[in-house]
Amino acid sequence: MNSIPAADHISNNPDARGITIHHVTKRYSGQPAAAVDNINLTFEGGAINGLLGPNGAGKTTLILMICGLMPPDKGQIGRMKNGILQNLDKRKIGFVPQQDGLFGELTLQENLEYFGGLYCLSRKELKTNIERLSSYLQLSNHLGKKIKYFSGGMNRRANILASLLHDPEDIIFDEPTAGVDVQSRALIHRLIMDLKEAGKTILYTSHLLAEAEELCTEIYIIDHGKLILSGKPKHLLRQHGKAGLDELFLSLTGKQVRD
Amino acid sequence: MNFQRIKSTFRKERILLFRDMGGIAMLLVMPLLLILTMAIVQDAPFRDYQDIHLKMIWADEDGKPLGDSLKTMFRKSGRFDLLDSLQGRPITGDEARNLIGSGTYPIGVIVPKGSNAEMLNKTNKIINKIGKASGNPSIIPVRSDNDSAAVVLLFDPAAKATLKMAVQNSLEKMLFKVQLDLLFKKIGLDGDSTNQDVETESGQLLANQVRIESAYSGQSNGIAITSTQHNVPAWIVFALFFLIIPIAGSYIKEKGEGSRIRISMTPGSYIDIILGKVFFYTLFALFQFIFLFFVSGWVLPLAGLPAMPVGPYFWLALIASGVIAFAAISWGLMIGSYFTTYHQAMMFGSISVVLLSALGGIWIPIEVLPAWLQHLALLSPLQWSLSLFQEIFLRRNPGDDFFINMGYLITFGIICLLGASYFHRKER
Repeated sequence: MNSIPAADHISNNPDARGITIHHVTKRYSGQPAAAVDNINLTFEGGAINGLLGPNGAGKTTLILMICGLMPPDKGQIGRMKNGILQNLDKRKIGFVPQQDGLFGELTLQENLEYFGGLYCLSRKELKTNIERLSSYLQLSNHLGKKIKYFSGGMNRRANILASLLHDPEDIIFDEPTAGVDVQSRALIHRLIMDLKEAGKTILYTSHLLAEAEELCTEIYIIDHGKLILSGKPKHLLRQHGKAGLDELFLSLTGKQVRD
Repeated sequence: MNFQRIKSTFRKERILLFRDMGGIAMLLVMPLLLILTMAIVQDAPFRDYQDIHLKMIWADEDGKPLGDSLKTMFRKSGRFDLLDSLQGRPITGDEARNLIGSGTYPIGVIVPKGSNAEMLNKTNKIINKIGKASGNPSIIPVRSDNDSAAVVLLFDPAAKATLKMAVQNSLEKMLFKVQLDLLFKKIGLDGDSTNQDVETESGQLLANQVRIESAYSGQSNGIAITSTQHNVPAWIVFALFFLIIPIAGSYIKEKGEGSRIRISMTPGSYIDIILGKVFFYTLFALFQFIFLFFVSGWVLPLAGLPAMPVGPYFWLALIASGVIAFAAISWGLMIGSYFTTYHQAMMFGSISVVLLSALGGIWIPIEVLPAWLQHLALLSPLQWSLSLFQEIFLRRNPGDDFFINMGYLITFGIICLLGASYFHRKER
């Protein structure tokens, strides 16, 4: 199996790789409360940052704003450089959405060529990246198959492959292991760890808190659009005297269902 | 604008469309069937009755010169196939009535017994009147009119009023000529209908008073407008506008399947994606135009219909097709960006094209619409599109109107693209 090569172009200084959310607010029209309410934090560079929260807490809104798919009403999202917060470069962000977002009538190869073209990758770069990533994600033998014939696990791996095709520095995984089998989940975990080892900044959301506890170097819990807790998982558990992240999460957000 | 992004989108749209055989059939085969069917169905109304060969039952119960003269004239007109005998004997009036009543033949003429004598009697009455008026009161013996001896024109009850009127006019003219010849003969002018000079002279009295010609201002070559010439361009416009279905469909699918988010995540302007779609579908529209034009032009003559003349401005028709496609594609993109579900977009898209085509003269010429609808019709992009093809293929003189309609379509397309862009931003 191929490994994820370390990206030489990424700065050695983790602080310079973090994603800063500077007093960001977003309110949807017709909604009484803000979806994201004055959040102020920095996702650590070169780490796996777990963004956790119940349904409707504001995770997806925050992610869409980081991806540049939605502008904040107030505040700014970017990366600190020489003391100035600069906008994120879309070219350096990889987003693995919950929905696979690939064309079912196209083969995996055709999908990757299409999205590679939209990222303006050179033919050589595209070929190399497809070979490397499809091998890692065990999809090499399925490149010629139409997406509509893929199983759930293959779909999810193909989704990840398409999102990493342009070798992004910041990668956002939105529930990457939801609904996949144990083997695919293990592979995705390994990939996330390898990406971290390669110096990438990972933002990860999941409702599987045991998984988050195992994977994440930092966690950020938000609810009702506000940041309610952040820190290293083990440190937070010790601080709050809880045995696991599930217990801590419920103690902070309550047992009332949200949707 | 990034060429690589446009090229990637172009390629993706090509693969997606060419894998959708139902979509291809809808864009190529269905319009072709529509052109062929509508051209054949509408062929008769487009033909002048002068061009139609009608079968006619002929029953001469009188056996005198009047019947022979009328028969000769009907045959000479070249518009009627006369059947005057059954199993070697002349057809009777009752047999003619039965054959027409059963729908076997559409038209019949019965020359009843005494018709010739009745015409002679009426002619004598005219001579007496003329003589009296000119102070020469020599009286030719006449009797009262015998209406039962009038020539009978029979029609199938299902025959159209226009057909009845046309044949009745022809028969009245013929009767008038026979009577005129008889009158000339009686008053001493050589009015024998077999005399070529008199026939020509009397014929000239009726002819050449009105000269009918098509109002071509360009290179007409005297071509009359046929159902082919109306239907081929009209239904090609309809087919080009049906491009909105796959375009709006793919746009909605992108939203529904989540690939829109992935596309939006790529750096660069969304205009590149739109241009990729516009370029591909415009090229496909040109292929669609050429395919429909030439295949229908080849098949229609096989069905006995006139061929579609290419004319001197075919190259301009290609440009017009591109502009029409641009307007249709932009309309499709706006529909796709506005609606949230596939069904909404498809229903609105297809019904809007049918409505605008009905209004725009695709189904029937706008001249036959009520006055207020005719004003409304001028707002239909399909009317502007049809006008382009009419300028090229029928009037053959693309002038100011041609360029004005091109301008309308381009403006419409740009407005739709701006609308699509607005709804896209709003959606985000």
